[in-house]
Amino acid sequence: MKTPSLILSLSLAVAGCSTTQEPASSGPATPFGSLGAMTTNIGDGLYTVSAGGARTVFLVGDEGVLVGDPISTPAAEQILGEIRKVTNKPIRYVVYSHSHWDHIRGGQVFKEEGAEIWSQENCLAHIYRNPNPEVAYPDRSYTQKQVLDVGNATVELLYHGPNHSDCSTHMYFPNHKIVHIVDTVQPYAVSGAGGRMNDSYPKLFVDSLQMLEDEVPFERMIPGHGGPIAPRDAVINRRKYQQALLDAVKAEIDKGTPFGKIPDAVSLPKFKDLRGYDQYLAANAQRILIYYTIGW
Amino acid sequence: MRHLVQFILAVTLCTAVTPASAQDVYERKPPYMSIFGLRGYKTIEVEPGLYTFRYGGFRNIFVVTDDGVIATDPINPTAAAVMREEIAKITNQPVKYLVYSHWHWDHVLGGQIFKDDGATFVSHEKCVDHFTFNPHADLVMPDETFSSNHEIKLGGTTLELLYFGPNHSDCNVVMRVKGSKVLFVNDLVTPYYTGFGTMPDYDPGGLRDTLAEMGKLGAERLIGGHGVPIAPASQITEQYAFLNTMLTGVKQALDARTPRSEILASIDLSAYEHLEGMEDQLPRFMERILFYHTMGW
Ligand SMILES: [Zn+2]
Ligand SMILES: [Zn+2]
Repeated sequence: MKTPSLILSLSLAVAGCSTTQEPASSGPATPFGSLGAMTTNIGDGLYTVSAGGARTVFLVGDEGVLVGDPISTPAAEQILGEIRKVTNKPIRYVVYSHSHWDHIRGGQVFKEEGAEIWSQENCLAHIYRNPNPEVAYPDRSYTQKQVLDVGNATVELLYHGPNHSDCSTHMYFPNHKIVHIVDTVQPYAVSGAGGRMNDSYPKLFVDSLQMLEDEVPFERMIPGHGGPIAPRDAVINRRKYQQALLDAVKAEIDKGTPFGKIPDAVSLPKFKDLRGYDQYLAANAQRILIYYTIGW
Repeated sequence: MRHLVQFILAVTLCTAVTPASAQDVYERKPPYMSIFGLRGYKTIEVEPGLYTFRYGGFRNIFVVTDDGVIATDPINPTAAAVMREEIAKITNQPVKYLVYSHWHWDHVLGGQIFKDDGATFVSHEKCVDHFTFNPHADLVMPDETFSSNHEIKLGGTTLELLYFGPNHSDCNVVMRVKGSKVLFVNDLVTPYYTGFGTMPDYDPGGLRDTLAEMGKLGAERLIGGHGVPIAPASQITEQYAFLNTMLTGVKQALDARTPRSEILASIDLSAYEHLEGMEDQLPRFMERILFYHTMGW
């Protein structure tokens, strides 16, 4: 089956960083955390785990294991348990998808197993400026591209510029033609997190996804929240939604619509089936309005 | 009746540059004034040589010396053209320096007419990254940058640019004419306002630290980038207290696992009810603080 359970993916997909609505400490309050960890075997050594309100990946090679986000301390313990069901090989690497705490707490669990923690270099400033006792500092960082090898199994860490954050790594698994994208793309959903985060770099967001599409021959993606896997089209769709939003808000500004009325004036019927459309469209548009007013 | 006169002064087009009067120092926000609803423009002399110019809801300062003018935030091309005329009513000296308070487009566009007059543009170096990332056709790039505190000397006057690290953005400076007790604090303090709720590039903890440092500068009055012309320096303390109440209140609510919809009600904000924005900005402000505490962003 080429595209396992797109339906599941859609039904579980939450609009963006839903965990931010939960208390800072993870545990039973998280809607997915209470279910325990759920692991999906993608094949050829690649697995994805849902735990603690977010989703991560791990890759098992001949010489060890590479893990994506640790998510939180209790989630990391669950993820380690899931890995140990599959292999006893050492944990070689942890890769932070970006700097947001709802994904990168709990790295210490893997550090104690000997893992080296990687992130894109721009994350360092955020992590050092806003320290969190549960967030382990990265040991290594990269600028544009870094290949990590765990023995006949590689991952490419790719930086395509600012999008949801200014240090988001696209983790590409070339053997599987799968990319792991955290928070920048929630398959077939508008921008979540109350709609107003909509991602830290509204315009460069489009360029970033375009670069990913142009440079990387991925066929499927694994998101950072919700269902396990979605087709390449989910990325294209999210880029088009973002561009449509930018265009629609700009059109209202050019028309002279009063600023206060713009968020509610925007309508994008082509995207009305996206998850969160009715609830968050106006908030998404408001975020774009800020981009056009202050540049951010 | 006095309110009515103030109202007319504040919201109508005034062509004459007026010296600051007691009414220009607002001890509290006038109930009739909506910070972003102001129309027209007005220039006020705050103290000898120091002026504040408002265009619509946006405000800057300029400093007149015998050897030229140090201007700040041009706001936008239309505002900049008006400001240039206002300056010409006061002095025939040209604008020699133009200083950006920070990088946000709602304050820094339209500098070209001053560039054409030969002005040197100055900003904190971190602003340049944003200008490069996010180019804008109406933006003039800085000629000179600095990384910590900086001084501009002209005609015997020194304008101090004080940098406190990331706060409202990562390149805001507080401006002060050396020896004066008036600060220009664009967007670090907007007097009698909660601040804009949705602030993507905002560091709430950093702003709290900055406000604490600003409180030690010994200032008596301040000029914000929006709203009333002059406010007492106690506005720094009030904004610090408000932000601190939000930061600690949201944290306590999270620690107590308060449901998100009840967080705002759990914080005692009775001391801040007079701030503009308590109705429309506060829920987003709370959400932004929530992100800070839960995502480190
Ligand atoms: Zn995130
Ligand atoms: Zn600003």
